[in-house]
Amino acid sequence: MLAWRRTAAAFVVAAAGAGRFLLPHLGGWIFLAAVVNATAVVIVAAAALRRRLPPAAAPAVLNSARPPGPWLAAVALATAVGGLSVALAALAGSHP
Amino acid sequence: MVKRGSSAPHPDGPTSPGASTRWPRRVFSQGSDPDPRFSLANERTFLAWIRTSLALFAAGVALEAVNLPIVPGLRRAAAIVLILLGAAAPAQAWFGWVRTELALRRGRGLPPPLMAVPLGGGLMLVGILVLLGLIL
Repeated sequence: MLAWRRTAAAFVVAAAGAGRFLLPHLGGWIFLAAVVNATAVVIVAAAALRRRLPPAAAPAVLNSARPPGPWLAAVALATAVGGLSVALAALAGSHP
Repeated sequence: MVKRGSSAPHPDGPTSPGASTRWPRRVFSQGSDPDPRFSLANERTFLAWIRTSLALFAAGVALEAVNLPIVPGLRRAAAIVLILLGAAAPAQAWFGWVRTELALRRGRGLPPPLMAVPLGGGLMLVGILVLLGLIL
């Protein structure tokens, strides 16, 4: 699905930006923040892969579109935890 | 509203196959499966809130990481407001998805987004803080 791909791309860009900012400060809990953020990217990418479109030749069963509840919860949690960890690392890093 | 099997009334119990195995059960144990297009639109709204959260986090981190000519106290306050809004957006994404899915399954009116007013007010506050930080 396009929306999932768009979100996964946004996560990749965010992870790249966070990595660029955090790499010079590797060590301690800033490193942990980077790891959490990378985990968030993996979760979103996995969720996106699970929701990818079937091949065009496959029979379309429209009423089989089941909302992936656990995946949505995982993505929401990963966004909050990953974003907060990077933000706290940035706040702590800018004012030691 | 177009609903699959809309000629039948919406009972309280689940009418979809496998409803008891789908999570969250408090959503899928009620009403009947809505038109898939509505569920997919609900999922896209969820993802839009997730991207909004990412943008808010990025703005908060950028305010702190980039050396801008803003009064430090006001800059930090603006960054904290942005980060708090960024942390609240995934909660809105999840609970908004649950509430909307429930409303769709029960055939009721859609709930309003709870975060709309706090987000607007917070962004206005951030704008004022940054403006003051630039002027002072």
